[in-house]
Amino acid sequence: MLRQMRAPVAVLALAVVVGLAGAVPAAENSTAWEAAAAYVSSLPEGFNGIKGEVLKAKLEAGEQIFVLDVRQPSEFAAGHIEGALNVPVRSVPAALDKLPADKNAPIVVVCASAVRSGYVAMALAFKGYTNVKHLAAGYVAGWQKAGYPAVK
Amino acid sequence: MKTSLHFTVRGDETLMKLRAAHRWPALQPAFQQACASCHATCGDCHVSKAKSVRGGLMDGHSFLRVGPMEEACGTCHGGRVFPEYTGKNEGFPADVHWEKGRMHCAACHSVTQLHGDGTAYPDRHAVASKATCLGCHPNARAEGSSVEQHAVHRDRINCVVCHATVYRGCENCHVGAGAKSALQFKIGRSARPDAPYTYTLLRHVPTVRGMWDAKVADAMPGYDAVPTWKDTVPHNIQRKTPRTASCNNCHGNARIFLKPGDLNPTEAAANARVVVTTIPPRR
Repeated sequence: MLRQMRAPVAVLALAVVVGLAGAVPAAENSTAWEAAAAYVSSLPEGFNGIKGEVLKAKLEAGEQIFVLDVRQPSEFAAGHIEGALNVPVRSVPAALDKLPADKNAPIVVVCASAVRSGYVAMALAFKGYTNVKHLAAGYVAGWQKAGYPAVK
Repeated sequence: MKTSLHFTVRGDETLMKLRAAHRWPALQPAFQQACASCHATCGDCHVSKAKSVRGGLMDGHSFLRVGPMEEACGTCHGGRVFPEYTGKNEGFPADVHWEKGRMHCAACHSVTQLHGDGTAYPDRHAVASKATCLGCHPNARAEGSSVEQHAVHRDRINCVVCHATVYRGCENCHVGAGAKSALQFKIGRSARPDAPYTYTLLRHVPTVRGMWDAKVADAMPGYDAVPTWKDTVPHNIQRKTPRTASCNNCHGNARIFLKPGDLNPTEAAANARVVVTTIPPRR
């Protein structure tokens, strides 16, 4: 599974870097680039993804994991992981006060297909959150299709 | 050796007899051909490697008193216990006995337990010399323990409920559509009448109602007599877990318990006595 994930996630990571650079088109933002480069070059095995099976088991075993669902409210309303907080991707920077105060607390970011969640996981890492992962394959393929418990 | 459960595989037979009830004579030949063919003899643990890893010898023709753990034990117990013990379940740590102590299986599982003591026990839970937590950690006993939670929960809760992490169980069946393993963690009631505790961890086993259909018709009229969520002893013990960190990681946390709604409807009757119907309130 990880091997299958590797190529698309690597592409995503590069897209994030390119996207970041694109956000400041006037000139190269060397500070942003240094942060992005450090993040990308130190990506761990699995690219900070967590399999749905592992997340489900951890939640069932009582681990206190903050699940941040960055999909649109309509997607969230159709089904989500119990206890998840819904903050649409573009609203995350303005909603940091809703995240755990402890920046070392485990956070798992969820979206439909692990694209939006990858951006948010990286952004939170830049903000100093040290234990952020995102749901590998996303909610649809990584959770819903597996038949894992969902609430509406 | 003749009373060793490794040799007799009597544990599986005990459960299958209960499920087969009066149909046991009809099922027994198929059981012998399938499940009971897995028994181990002396050389399987002391000389050769299991067929599952294409056989071969562990150390030439030497008869090893205690073979390498990964070959002598891990080849037959490599689906669940060995990966669990050595931290191969992605996202979950190795057992503290391995992580900190690099303890061989035989450090806890004595030669008497493995070879048998002359008594033909019905299953591994009944073996007098089986490994127990309190055997090495007598100070953890509820009476007089310096740990408040040990005293609070007394003998109602098995040690592993708080001190194990996630483990693997199976869905569906070996013989039919093929079993699929899944990470699990469910607290439920023990179905063992001799259990010294009420609540323990339960693991789903892949025994489905129609698993013998292709070989023996109506093979398990007593299917509902044995739960398919059975007492398990995960081999990934930890001193600290989310459950040792906070009362409310169990109390009020419904998803950590095996509830009636979690059951496959075809297995509801078999597991009626192990499910938890009242979730302990938040503290």
